[in-house]
Amino acid sequence: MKVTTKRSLIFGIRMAGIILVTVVFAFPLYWLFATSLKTRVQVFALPPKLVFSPTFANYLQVINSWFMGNLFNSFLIAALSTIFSIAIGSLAAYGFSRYPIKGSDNILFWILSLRMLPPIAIVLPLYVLFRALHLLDTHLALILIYSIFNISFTVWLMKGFFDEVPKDVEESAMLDGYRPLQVFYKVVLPLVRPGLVATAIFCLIQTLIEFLVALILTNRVAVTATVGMAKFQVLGVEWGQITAAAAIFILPIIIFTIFVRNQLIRGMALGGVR
Amino acid sequence: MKADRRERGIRLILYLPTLIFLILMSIFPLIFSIYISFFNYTLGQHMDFIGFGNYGSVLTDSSFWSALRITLEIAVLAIPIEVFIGILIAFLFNTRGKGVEVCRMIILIPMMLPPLVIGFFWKYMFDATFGIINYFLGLLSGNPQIISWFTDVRLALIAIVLVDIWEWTPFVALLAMAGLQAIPPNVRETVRLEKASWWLRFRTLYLPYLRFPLLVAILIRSIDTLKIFDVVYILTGGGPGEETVTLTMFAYRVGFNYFYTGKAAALSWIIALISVGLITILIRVLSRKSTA
Repeated sequence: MKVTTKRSLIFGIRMAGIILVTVVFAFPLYWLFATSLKTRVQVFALPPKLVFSPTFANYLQVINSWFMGNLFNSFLIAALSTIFSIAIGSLAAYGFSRYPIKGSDNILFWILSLRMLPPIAIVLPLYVLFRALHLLDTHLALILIYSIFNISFTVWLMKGFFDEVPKDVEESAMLDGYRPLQVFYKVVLPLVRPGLVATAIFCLIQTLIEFLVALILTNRVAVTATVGMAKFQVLGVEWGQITAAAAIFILPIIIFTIFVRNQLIRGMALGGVR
Repeated sequence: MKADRRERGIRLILYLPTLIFLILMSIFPLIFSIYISFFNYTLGQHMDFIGFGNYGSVLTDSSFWSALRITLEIAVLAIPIEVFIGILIAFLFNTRGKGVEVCRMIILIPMMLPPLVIGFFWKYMFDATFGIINYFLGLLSGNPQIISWFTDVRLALIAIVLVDIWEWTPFVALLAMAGLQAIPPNVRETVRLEKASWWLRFRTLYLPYLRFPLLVAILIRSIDTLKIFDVVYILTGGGPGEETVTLTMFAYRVGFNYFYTGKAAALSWIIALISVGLITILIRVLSRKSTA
Protein backbone atom coordinates (compact mmCIF):
# COMPACT_ATOMS: atom_id res chain seq x y z
CA MET A 1 0.00 0.00 0.00
CA LYS A 2 2.65 2.45 1.06
CA VAL A 3 4.87 1.53 -1.88
CA THR A 4 2.08 2.08 -4.40
CA THR A 5 1.19 5.52 -3.08
CA LYS A 6 4.84 6.48 -3.20
CA ARG A 7 5.08 5.15 -6.75
CA SER A 8 2.03 7.05 -7.94
CA LEU A 9 3.28 10.20 -6.22
CA ILE A 10 6.57 9.94 -8.12
CA PHE A 11 4.63 9.27 -11.31
CA GLY A 12 2.51 12.37 -10.70
CA ILE A 13 5.54 14.56 -10.04
CA ARG A 14 7.23 13.24 -13.17
CA MET A 15 4.20 13.95 -15.35
CA ALA A 16 3.84 17.44 -13.88
CA GLY A 17 7.52 18.03 -14.63
CA ILE A 18 7.17 16.82 -18.21
CA ILE A 19 4.18 19.07 -18.78
CA LEU A 20 5.95 22.05 -17.21
CA VAL A 21 9.06 21.57 -19.37
CA THR A 22 6.94 21.16 -22.49
CA VAL A 23 4.92 24.31 -21.75
CA VAL A 24 8.08 26.34 -21.11
CA PHE A 25 9.67 25.21 -24.38
CA ALA A 26 6.48 25.44 -26.42
CA PHE A 27 5.33 28.82 -25.13
CA PRO A 28 7.54 30.96 -27.42
CA LEU A 29 6.16 29.03 -30.40
CA TYR A 30 2.60 29.47 -29.18
CA TRP A 31 3.31 33.17 -28.75
CA LEU A 32 4.71 33.38 -32.28
CA PHE A 33 1.59 31.84 -33.82
CA ALA A 34 -0.71 33.79 -31.49
CA THR A 35 0.89 37.11 -32.38
CA SER A 36 0.58 36.35 -36.08
CA LEU A 37 -3.22 36.09 -35.62
CA LYS A 38 -3.58 39.40 -33.81
CA THR A 39 -4.59 42.82 -35.00
CA ARG A 40 -2.12 45.64 -34.58
CA VAL A 41 -4.06 46.90 -31.56
CA GLN A 42 -3.97 43.47 -29.94
CA VAL A 43 -0.23 43.11 -30.62
CA PHE A 44 0.45 46.24 -28.59
CA ALA A 45 -2.16 45.60 -25.93
CA LEU A 46 -1.14 46.06 -22.31
CA PRO A 47 -1.25 43.69 -20.53
CA PRO A 48 -0.46 41.24 -23.40
CA LYS A 49 -3.56 39.37 -24.55
CA LEU A 50 -3.18 35.63 -24.04
CA VAL A 51 -6.68 34.94 -25.39
CA PHE A 52 -8.25 36.89 -28.27
CA SER A 53 -10.32 36.48 -31.43
CA PRO A 54 -7.96 35.66 -34.30
CA THR A 55 -7.65 37.48 -37.60
CA PHE A 56 -5.88 36.39 -40.78
CA ALA A 57 -5.17 39.93 -41.94
CA ASN A 58 -1.41 39.60 -41.32
CA TYR A 59 -1.26 36.43 -43.40
CA LEU A 60 -3.10 38.09 -46.28
CA GLN A 61 -0.61 40.93 -46.21
CA VAL A 62 2.39 38.60 -46.18
CA ILE A 63 0.99 36.38 -48.92
CA ASN A 64 0.62 39.42 -51.17
CA SER A 65 4.12 40.72 -50.42
CA TRP A 66 7.60 40.23 -51.83
CA PHE A 67 8.30 37.72 -49.08
CA MET A 68 6.59 34.92 -51.03
CA GLY A 69 9.19 35.36 -53.77
CA ASN A 70 11.94 34.96 -51.18
CA LEU A 71 10.24 31.87 -49.85
CA PHE A 72 10.05 30.45 -53.36
CA ASN A 73 13.78 31.12 -53.83
CA SER A 74 14.56 29.32 -50.58
CA PHE A 75 12.59 26.22 -51.49
CA LEU A 76 13.96 26.16 -55.03
CA ILE A 77 17.56 26.50 -53.87
CA ALA A 78 17.09 23.97 -51.06
CA ALA A 79 15.42 21.43 -53.37
CA LEU A 80 18.03 21.69 -56.12
CA SER A 81 20.95 21.56 -53.70
CA THR A 82 19.41 18.57 -51.93
CA ILE A 83 18.81 16.63 -55.16
CA PHE A 84 22.36 17.32 -56.36
CA SER A 85 23.89 16.44 -52.98
CA ILE A 86 21.92 13.25 -52.54
CA ALA A 87 22.73 12.16 -56.09
CA ILE A 88 26.49 12.42 -55.84
CA GLY A 89 26.83 12.16 -52.05
CA SER A 90 25.10 8.80 -51.76
CA LEU A 91 27.37 7.39 -54.48
CA ALA A 92 30.40 8.36 -52.43
CA ALA A 93 28.78 7.10 -49.24
CA TYR A 94 28.25 3.72 -50.91
CA GLY A 95 31.88 3.77 -51.96
CA PHE A 96 33.08 4.45 -48.43
CA SER A 97 30.82 1.69 -47.15
CA ARG A 98 31.59 -1.05 -49.70
CA TYR A 99 34.57 -0.07 -51.85
CA PRO A 100 37.04 1.63 -49.51
CA ILE A 101 40.05 3.28 -51.08
CA LYS A 102 43.49 4.12 -49.71
CA GLY A 103 43.08 6.60 -46.89
CA SER A 104 39.29 6.24 -46.80
CA ASP A 105 39.10 7.06 -43.12
CA ASN A 106 41.08 10.26 -43.46
CA ILE A 107 39.06 11.38 -46.46
CA LEU A 108 35.87 10.64 -44.55
CA PHE A 109 37.01 12.76 -41.61
CA TRP A 110 38.01 15.55 -43.94
CA ILE A 111 34.52 15.46 -45.47
CA LEU A 112 32.92 15.48 -42.03
CA SER A 113 35.01 18.41 -40.87
CA LEU A 114 33.90 20.42 -43.91
CA ARG A 115 30.36 20.24 -42.67
CA MET A 116 31.31 21.59 -39.27
CA LEU A 117 33.61 24.35 -40.50
CA PRO A 118 32.29 27.89 -39.92
CA PRO A 119 30.67 28.99 -43.20
CA ILE A 120 32.37 32.39 -42.88
CA ALA A 121 35.74 30.68 -43.51
CA ILE A 122 34.65 29.28 -46.87
CA VAL A 123 32.31 32.00 -48.03
CA LEU A 124 34.89 34.80 -48.14
CA PRO A 125 37.15 33.36 -50.86
CA LEU A 126 34.10 32.06 -52.73
CA TYR A 127 32.65 35.56 -52.67
CA VAL A 128 35.77 36.91 -54.36
CA LEU A 129 35.71 34.09 -56.92
CA PHE A 130 31.99 34.35 -57.65
CA ARG A 131 32.33 38.09 -58.00
CA ALA A 132 34.94 37.57 -60.71
CA LEU A 133 32.68 35.00 -62.41
CA HIS A 134 29.61 37.31 -62.15
CA LEU A 135 27.80 34.70 -60.08
CA LEU A 136 26.90 36.93 -57.13
CA ASP A 137 23.20 37.13 -56.37
CA THR A 138 22.39 34.02 -58.42
CA HIS A 139 20.57 30.88 -57.34
CA LEU A 140 23.47 28.83 -58.69
CA ALA A 141 25.98 30.41 -56.32
CA LEU A 142 23.89 29.49 -53.29
CA ILE A 143 23.13 26.00 -54.59
CA LEU A 144 26.87 25.37 -55.05
CA ILE A 145 27.86 26.58 -51.57
CA TYR A 146 25.03 24.80 -49.78
CA SER A 147 25.97 21.63 -51.61
CA ILE A 148 29.37 21.63 -49.88
CA PHE A 149 27.62 21.23 -46.54
CA ASN A 150 24.85 18.98 -47.87
CA ILE A 151 27.19 16.59 -49.69
CA SER A 152 29.43 16.21 -46.68
CA PHE A 153 26.33 15.62 -44.53
CA THR A 154 24.92 13.10 -47.03
CA VAL A 155 28.17 11.15 -47.27
CA TRP A 156 28.46 10.86 -43.52
CA LEU A 157 24.83 9.97 -42.83
CA MET A 158 24.26 7.66 -45.80
CA LYS A 159 27.45 5.72 -45.09
CA GLY A 160 25.82 4.75 -41.78
CA PHE A 161 22.68 3.57 -43.54
CA PHE A 162 24.65 1.60 -46.16
CA ASP A 163 26.72 -0.01 -43.42
CA GLU A 164 23.52 -1.43 -41.96
CA VAL A 165 22.60 -3.30 -45.16
CA PRO A 166 23.74 -6.92 -44.77
CA LYS A 167 26.51 -7.79 -47.21
CA ASP A 168 24.95 -11.11 -48.29
CA VAL A 169 22.05 -9.25 -49.90
CA GLU A 170 24.50 -7.79 -52.37
CA GLU A 171 26.49 -10.96 -52.75
CA SER A 172 23.43 -12.97 -53.74
CA ALA A 173 22.41 -10.22 -56.17
CA MET A 174 25.88 -10.45 -57.73
CA LEU A 175 25.42 -14.19 -58.05
CA ASP A 176 22.15 -13.51 -59.85
CA GLY A 177 24.19 -11.72 -62.48
CA TYR A 178 23.70 -8.10 -61.43
CA ARG A 179 26.58 -5.78 -62.18
CA PRO A 180 27.93 -3.79 -59.20
CA LEU A 181 26.19 -0.55 -60.17
CA GLN A 182 22.95 -2.43 -60.80
CA VAL A 183 23.27 -3.89 -57.32
CA PHE A 184 23.55 -0.35 -56.03
CA TYR A 185 20.54 1.03 -57.89
CA LYS A 186 18.23 -1.96 -57.92
CA VAL A 187 19.00 -3.72 -54.65
CA VAL A 188 20.73 -1.47 -52.11
CA LEU A 189 19.07 1.89 -52.78
CA PRO A 190 15.53 0.57 -52.30
CA LEU A 191 16.64 -0.95 -48.99
CA VAL A 192 17.96 2.35 -47.65
CA ARG A 193 15.05 4.42 -48.93
CA PRO A 194 13.94 5.52 -45.43
CA GLY A 195 17.49 6.70 -44.71
CA LEU A 196 17.62 8.45 -48.06
CA VAL A 197 14.37 10.29 -47.34
CA ALA A 198 15.54 11.30 -43.85
CA THR A 199 18.86 12.55 -45.24
CA ALA A 200 17.08 14.57 -47.92
CA ILE A 201 14.76 16.15 -45.35
CA PHE A 202 17.71 17.12 -43.15
CA CYS A 203 19.44 18.69 -46.15
CA LEU A 204 16.27 20.61 -46.99
CA ILE A 205 15.85 21.93 -43.45
CA GLN A 206 19.49 22.89 -43.07
CA THR A 207 19.47 24.76 -46.35
CA LEU A 208 16.18 26.52 -45.68
CA ILE A 209 17.29 27.91 -42.32
CA GLU A 210 20.72 29.18 -43.42
CA PHE A 211 21.20 32.93 -43.16
CA LEU A 212 24.82 34.13 -43.20
CA VAL A 213 25.85 32.75 -46.60
CA ALA A 214 22.63 33.98 -48.20
CA LEU A 215 23.05 37.40 -46.60
CA ILE A 216 26.54 37.72 -48.06
CA LEU A 217 25.87 36.35 -51.53
CA THR A 218 22.45 37.74 -52.40
CA ASN A 219 21.21 41.20 -53.03
CA ARG A 220 17.99 41.34 -55.08
CA VAL A 221 17.43 38.38 -57.34
CA ALA A 222 18.24 35.30 -55.29
CA VAL A 223 17.22 36.63 -51.86
CA THR A 224 16.10 33.78 -49.62
CA ALA A 225 13.42 33.67 -46.94
CA THR A 226 15.84 34.23 -44.06
CA VAL A 227 17.40 37.28 -45.72
CA GLY A 228 13.93 38.51 -46.63
CA MET A 229 12.83 38.14 -43.03
CA ALA A 230 15.85 40.08 -41.84
CA LYS A 231 14.62 42.94 -44.03
CA PHE A 232 11.49 43.11 -41.92
CA GLN A 233 13.71 44.79 -39.37
CA VAL A 234 13.42 47.91 -41.48
CA LEU A 235 9.67 47.79 -40.93
CA GLY A 236 10.47 48.25 -37.26
CA VAL A 237 7.75 46.90 -35.05
CA GLU A 238 5.22 45.36 -37.43
CA TRP A 239 5.23 42.26 -35.24
CA GLY A 240 1.95 40.92 -36.65
CA GLN A 241 3.38 40.75 -40.16
CA ILE A 242 6.78 39.56 -39.01
CA THR A 243 5.32 36.69 -37.02
CA ALA A 244 2.91 35.78 -39.85
CA ALA A 245 5.84 35.57 -42.26
CA ALA A 246 7.77 33.54 -39.71
CA ALA A 247 4.81 31.19 -39.24
CA ILE A 248 4.44 30.58 -42.99
CA PHE A 249 8.18 29.94 -43.17
CA ILE A 250 8.53 27.56 -40.22
CA LEU A 251 5.36 25.52 -40.65
CA PRO A 252 6.87 23.31 -43.38
CA ILE A 253 10.05 23.02 -41.31
CA ILE A 254 8.08 21.80 -38.30
CA ILE A 255 6.31 19.24 -40.49
CA PHE A 256 9.66 18.08 -41.90
CA THR A 257 11.00 17.77 -38.35
CA ILE A 258 8.09 15.56 -37.34
CA PHE A 259 8.87 13.31 -40.31
CA VAL A 260 12.47 12.77 -39.19
CA ARG A 261 11.81 12.70 -35.45
CA ASN A 262 13.28 9.23 -35.05
CA GLN A 263 16.45 10.14 -36.92
CA LEU A 264 17.18 13.39 -35.05
CA ILE A 265 20.18 12.02 -33.18
CA ARG A 266 21.74 10.64 -36.31
CA GLY A 267 21.14 13.84 -38.17
CA MET A 268 22.04 16.37 -35.52
CA ALA A 269 24.88 14.58 -33.74
CA LEU A 270 26.58 13.01 -36.77
CA GLY A 271 25.31 9.59 -35.82
CA GLY A 272 27.77 9.96 -32.99
CA VAL A 273 25.72 8.40 -30.25
CA ARG A 274 24.09 5.13 -31.05
CA MET B 1 42.59 -8.96 -63.79
CA LYS B 2 39.39 -7.96 -65.55
CA ALA B 3 37.52 -7.85 -62.26
CA ASP B 4 40.26 -5.60 -60.89
CA ARG B 5 39.81 -3.10 -63.64
CA ARG B 6 36.05 -3.20 -63.22
CA GLU B 7 36.41 -2.53 -59.50
CA ARG B 8 38.57 0.47 -60.26
CA GLY B 9 35.89 1.73 -62.64
CA ILE B 10 33.25 1.44 -59.93
CA ARG B 11 35.39 3.36 -57.49
CA LEU B 12 35.88 6.15 -60.00
CA ILE B 13 32.14 6.46 -60.55
CA LEU B 14 31.37 6.38 -56.84
CA TYR B 15 34.06 8.71 -55.52
CA LEU B 16 34.99 11.08 -58.30
CA PRO B 17 31.94 13.39 -58.44
CA THR B 18 32.00 14.08 -54.71
CA LEU B 19 35.76 14.45 -54.43
CA ILE B 20 36.05 16.75 -57.43
CA PHE B 21 33.20 18.92 -56.20
CA LEU B 22 34.48 19.19 -52.65
CA ILE B 23 38.06 19.89 -53.70
CA LEU B 24 36.94 22.57 -56.15
CA MET B 25 34.53 24.16 -53.71
CA SER B 26 36.47 23.91 -50.46
CA ILE B 27 40.19 23.11 -50.71
CA PHE B 28 40.74 25.42 -53.63
CA PRO B 29 38.92 28.39 -52.01
CA LEU B 30 40.67 27.82 -48.70
CA ILE B 31 44.06 27.93 -50.40
CA PHE B 32 42.96 31.01 -52.33
CA SER B 33 41.95 32.53 -49.03
CA ILE B 34 45.45 31.97 -47.56
CA TYR B 35 46.81 33.74 -50.63
CA ILE B 36 44.46 36.72 -50.16
CA SER B 37 45.34 36.90 -46.48
CA PHE B 38 48.91 37.94 -47.35
CA PHE B 39 47.77 41.04 -49.21
CA ASN B 40 46.52 44.41 -48.19
CA TYR B 41 43.40 44.10 -50.28
CA THR B 42 40.20 46.07 -50.21
CA LEU B 43 37.70 44.50 -52.59
CA GLY B 44 37.85 46.10 -56.04
CA GLN B 45 41.23 47.75 -55.46
CA HIS B 46 44.68 46.44 -56.23
CA MET B 47 46.57 44.07 -53.94
CA ASP B 48 49.75 44.89 -51.98
CA PHE B 49 51.76 42.03 -50.54
CA ILE B 50 52.22 42.55 -46.81
CA GLY B 51 53.23 39.10 -45.56
CA PHE B 52 51.69 38.37 -42.21
CA GLY B 53 50.53 41.98 -41.82
CA ASN B 54 46.84 41.08 -41.82
CA TYR B 55 47.33 38.47 -39.12
CA GLY B 56 49.16 41.07 -37.05
CA SER B 57 46.40 43.58 -37.67
CA VAL B 58 43.76 41.06 -36.50
CA LEU B 59 45.70 40.05 -33.40
CA THR B 60 46.34 43.66 -32.36
CA ASP B 61 42.72 44.71 -33.02
CA SER B 62 40.91 45.14 -29.70
CA SER B 63 37.60 44.43 -31.50
CA PHE B 64 38.87 40.94 -32.33
CA TRP B 65 39.67 40.20 -28.70
CA SER B 66 36.35 41.64 -27.60
CA ALA B 67 34.53 39.43 -30.14
CA LEU B 68 36.49 36.40 -28.98
CA ARG B 69 35.66 37.21 -25.36
CA ILE B 70 31.91 37.62 -26.06
CA THR B 71 31.85 34.34 -27.99
CA LEU B 72 33.60 32.55 -25.14
CA GLU B 73 31.29 34.16 -22.59
CA ILE B 74 28.22 32.92 -24.47
CA ALA B 75 29.71 29.42 -24.60
CA VAL B 76 30.82 29.38 -20.96
CA LEU B 77 27.48 30.69 -19.70
CA ALA B 78 25.13 28.75 -21.96
CA ILE B 79 26.69 25.31 -22.39
CA PRO B 80 26.93 24.26 -18.70
CA ILE B 81 23.31 25.34 -18.13
CA GLU B 82 22.23 23.46 -21.25
CA VAL B 83 24.04 20.36 -20.01
CA PHE B 84 22.54 20.62 -16.53
CA ILE B 85 18.95 21.21 -17.65
CA GLY B 86 19.46 18.76 -20.50
CA ILE B 87 20.33 15.96 -18.05
CA LEU B 88 17.31 16.80 -15.87
CA ILE B 89 15.01 16.73 -18.91
CA ALA B 90 16.52 13.44 -20.06
CA PHE B 91 15.76 11.81 -16.69
CA LEU B 92 12.30 13.33 -16.64
CA PHE B 93 11.44 12.07 -20.12
CA ASN B 94 13.08 8.67 -19.62
CA THR B 95 9.73 6.88 -19.47
CA ARG B 96 7.22 5.44 -21.87
CA GLY B 97 3.80 6.69 -22.90
CA LYS B 98 2.17 8.30 -25.88
CA GLY B 99 1.79 11.67 -24.17
CA VAL B 100 5.48 11.64 -23.28
CA GLU B 101 6.35 10.96 -26.95
CA VAL B 102 4.29 13.95 -28.05
CA CYS B 103 5.90 16.21 -25.43
CA ARG B 104 9.36 15.00 -26.47
CA MET B 105 8.55 15.83 -30.08
CA ILE B 106 7.38 19.31 -29.14
CA ILE B 107 10.50 20.24 -27.18
CA LEU B 108 12.73 19.02 -30.03
CA ILE B 109 11.26 21.53 -32.48
CA PRO B 110 13.25 24.66 -31.46
CA MET B 111 16.64 23.27 -32.52
CA MET B 112 15.37 22.69 -36.07
CA LEU B 113 14.01 26.19 -36.61
CA PRO B 114 15.80 28.99 -38.47
CA PRO B 115 17.92 30.78 -35.83
CA LEU B 116 17.06 34.03 -37.56
CA VAL B 117 13.33 33.51 -36.95
CA ILE B 118 14.08 32.53 -33.37
CA GLY B 119 15.94 35.81 -32.96
CA PHE B 120 12.91 37.69 -34.26
CA PHE B 121 10.24 36.34 -32.01
CA TRP B 122 12.44 36.44 -28.94
CA LYS B 123 13.20 40.05 -29.73
CA TYR B 124 9.47 40.70 -29.64
CA MET B 125 9.15 38.81 -26.37
CA PHE B 126 12.03 40.80 -24.87
CA ASP B 127 10.46 44.13 -25.90
CA ALA B 128 10.71 46.56 -22.99
CA THR B 129 7.11 47.80 -23.12
CA PHE B 130 5.05 45.20 -24.96
CA GLY B 131 7.17 42.12 -24.35
CA ILE B 132 5.67 39.11 -22.62
CA ILE B 133 8.88 38.48 -20.67
CA ASN B 134 8.76 41.77 -18.81
CA TYR B 135 5.04 41.15 -18.29
CA PHE B 136 5.72 37.79 -16.62
CA LEU B 137 8.56 39.30 -14.59
CA GLY B 138 6.11 41.97 -13.50
CA LEU B 139 3.59 39.35 -12.43
CA LEU B 140 6.25 37.48 -10.47
CA SER B 141 7.69 40.53 -8.74
CA GLY B 142 4.36 42.21 -8.09
CA ASN B 143 5.13 45.50 -9.78
CA PRO B 144 5.40 46.28 -13.51
CA GLN B 145 8.85 45.77 -15.04
CA ILE B 146 10.16 47.85 -17.94
CA ILE B 147 13.55 46.22 -18.33
CA SER B 148 15.32 47.46 -21.43
CA TRP B 149 17.16 44.25 -22.33
CA PHE B 150 19.30 45.48 -25.17
CA THR B 151 20.74 48.74 -23.87
CA ASP B 152 22.82 47.13 -21.12
CA VAL B 153 25.71 44.85 -22.05
CA ARG B 154 25.12 42.38 -19.31
CA LEU B 155 21.39 42.10 -19.93
CA ALA B 156 21.96 41.81 -23.68
CA LEU B 157 24.38 38.96 -23.04
CA ILE B 158 21.89 37.28 -20.71
CA ALA B 159 19.19 37.60 -23.36
CA ILE B 160 21.43 35.94 -25.96
CA VAL B 161 22.30 33.16 -23.51
CA LEU B 162 18.63 32.60 -22.60
CA VAL B 163 17.68 32.21 -26.26
CA ASP B 164 20.62 29.85 -26.79
CA ILE B 165 19.45 27.77 -23.83
CA TRP B 166 15.92 27.60 -25.21
CA GLU B 167 17.25 26.65 -28.62
CA TRP B 168 19.83 24.04 -27.66
CA THR B 169 18.98 22.46 -24.29
CA PRO B 170 16.66 19.98 -26.08
CA PHE B 171 19.62 18.92 -28.22
CA VAL B 172 21.68 18.07 -25.14
CA ALA B 173 18.63 16.35 -23.63
CA LEU B 174 18.20 14.31 -26.81
CA LEU B 175 21.76 12.98 -26.59
CA ALA B 176 21.47 12.35 -22.86
CA MET B 177 18.20 10.41 -23.41
CA ALA B 178 19.99 8.20 -25.92
CA GLY B 179 22.67 7.58 -23.29
CA LEU B 180 20.09 6.60 -20.69
CA GLN B 181 18.32 4.28 -23.11
CA ALA B 182 21.58 2.45 -23.70
CA ILE B 183 21.61 1.24 -20.07
CA PRO B 184 20.79 -2.49 -20.03
CA PRO B 185 17.63 -3.20 -17.99
CA ASN B 186 19.37 -5.76 -15.74
CA VAL B 187 22.05 -3.21 -14.74
CA ARG B 188 19.29 -0.82 -13.81
CA GLU B 189 17.50 -3.47 -11.74
CA THR B 190 20.56 -4.47 -9.70
CA VAL B 191 21.22 -0.92 -8.71
CA ARG B 192 17.59 -0.30 -7.88
CA LEU B 193 17.68 -3.24 -5.45
CA GLU B 194 20.76 -1.92 -3.67
CA LYS B 195 19.42 0.99 -1.74
CA ALA B 196 22.14 3.34 -2.89
CA SER B 197 21.93 7.07 -2.37
CA TRP B 198 20.75 9.20 -5.28
CA TRP B 199 24.19 10.69 -5.89
CA LEU B 200 25.96 7.35 -5.71
CA ARG B 201 23.43 5.84 -8.09
CA PHE B 202 23.92 8.75 -10.50
CA ARG B 203 27.70 8.40 -10.39
CA THR B 204 28.02 4.66 -10.65
CA LEU B 205 25.03 3.75 -12.82
CA TYR B 206 24.12 6.69 -15.01
CA LEU B 207 27.27 8.74 -15.41
CA PRO B 208 29.24 6.08 -17.31
CA TYR B 209 26.46 5.99 -19.90
CA LEU B 210 26.08 9.78 -20.00
CA ARG B 211 29.73 10.70 -20.24
CA PHE B 212 30.14 9.97 -23.93
CA PRO B 213 26.93 11.61 -25.24
CA LEU B 214 27.52 14.65 -23.05
CA LEU B 215 31.10 15.00 -24.28
CA VAL B 216 29.82 14.89 -27.85
CA ALA B 217 27.10 17.41 -27.01
CA ILE B 218 29.55 19.82 -25.38
CA LEU B 219 31.97 19.60 -28.31
CA ILE B 220 29.26 20.12 -30.91
CA ARG B 221 27.81 23.03 -28.95
CA SER B 222 31.28 24.62 -28.66
CA ILE B 223 31.90 24.31 -32.39
CA ASP B 224 28.45 25.75 -33.07
CA THR B 225 28.96 28.69 -30.73
CA LEU B 226 31.98 29.75 -32.82
CA LYS B 227 29.50 30.16 -35.68
CA ILE B 228 26.83 32.01 -33.70
CA PHE B 229 25.56 34.87 -35.84
CA ASP B 230 21.87 34.88 -36.78
CA VAL B 231 20.30 35.17 -33.33
CA VAL B 232 22.70 37.89 -32.24
CA TYR B 233 22.34 39.74 -35.55
CA ILE B 234 18.61 40.13 -34.98
CA LEU B 235 18.44 40.26 -31.19
CA THR B 236 21.13 42.82 -30.36
CA GLY B 237 22.65 43.65 -33.75
CA GLY B 238 25.98 43.43 -31.92
CA GLY B 239 24.93 46.22 -29.56
CA PRO B 240 24.87 48.09 -27.32
CA GLY B 241 27.75 49.73 -29.17
CA GLU B 242 29.83 46.78 -30.34
CA GLU B 243 29.69 44.98 -27.02
CA THR B 244 27.96 41.80 -28.23
CA VAL B 245 29.69 41.39 -31.60
CA THR B 246 30.59 37.70 -31.86
CA LEU B 247 33.55 36.23 -33.72
CA THR B 248 31.61 35.36 -36.86
CA MET B 249 29.83 38.71 -36.78
CA PHE B 250 33.17 40.51 -36.49
CA ALA B 251 34.52 38.62 -39.51
CA TYR B 252 31.33 39.43 -41.41
CA ARG B 253 31.70 43.14 -40.68
CA VAL B 254 35.39 43.27 -41.60
CA GLY B 255 34.78 41.36 -44.82
CA PHE B 256 31.40 42.59 -45.99
CA ASN B 257 30.71 45.93 -44.34
CA TYR B 258 34.19 47.43 -44.61
CA PHE B 259 35.38 45.11 -47.40
CA TYR B 260 38.86 44.65 -45.89
CA THR B 261 39.10 41.42 -47.82
CA GLY B 262 42.70 40.64 -46.91
CA LYS B 263 42.15 41.12 -43.21
CA ALA B 264 38.89 39.18 -43.33
CA ALA B 265 40.69 36.27 -45.00
CA ALA B 266 43.28 36.23 -42.22
CA LEU B 267 40.49 36.40 -39.67
CA SER B 268 38.48 33.61 -41.25
CA TRP B 269 41.62 31.45 -41.20
CA ILE B 270 42.08 32.14 -37.51
CA ILE B 271 38.43 31.14 -36.88
CA ALA B 272 38.86 28.07 -39.08
CA LEU B 273 41.95 26.97 -37.12
CA ILE B 274 40.16 27.27 -33.78
CA SER B 275 37.27 25.23 -35.19
CA VAL B 276 39.51 22.61 -36.74
CA GLY B 277 41.10 22.12 -33.33
CA LEU B 278 37.72 21.43 -31.75
CA ILE B 279 36.51 19.37 -34.73
CA THR B 280 39.62 17.17 -34.52
CA ILE B 281 38.96 16.48 -30.85
CA LEU B 282 35.31 15.66 -31.65
CA ILE B 283 36.26 13.28 -34.43
CA ARG B 284 38.86 11.57 -32.22
CA VAL B 285 36.20 11.07 -29.57
CA LEU B 286 33.69 9.73 -32.08
CA SER B 287 36.08 7.34 -33.77
CA ARG B 288 37.52 6.01 -30.52
CA LYS B 289 33.99 5.10 -29.48
CA SER B 290 33.13 3.40 -32.76
CA THR B 291 36.25 1.23 -32.76
CA ALA B 292 36.06 0.41 -29.04
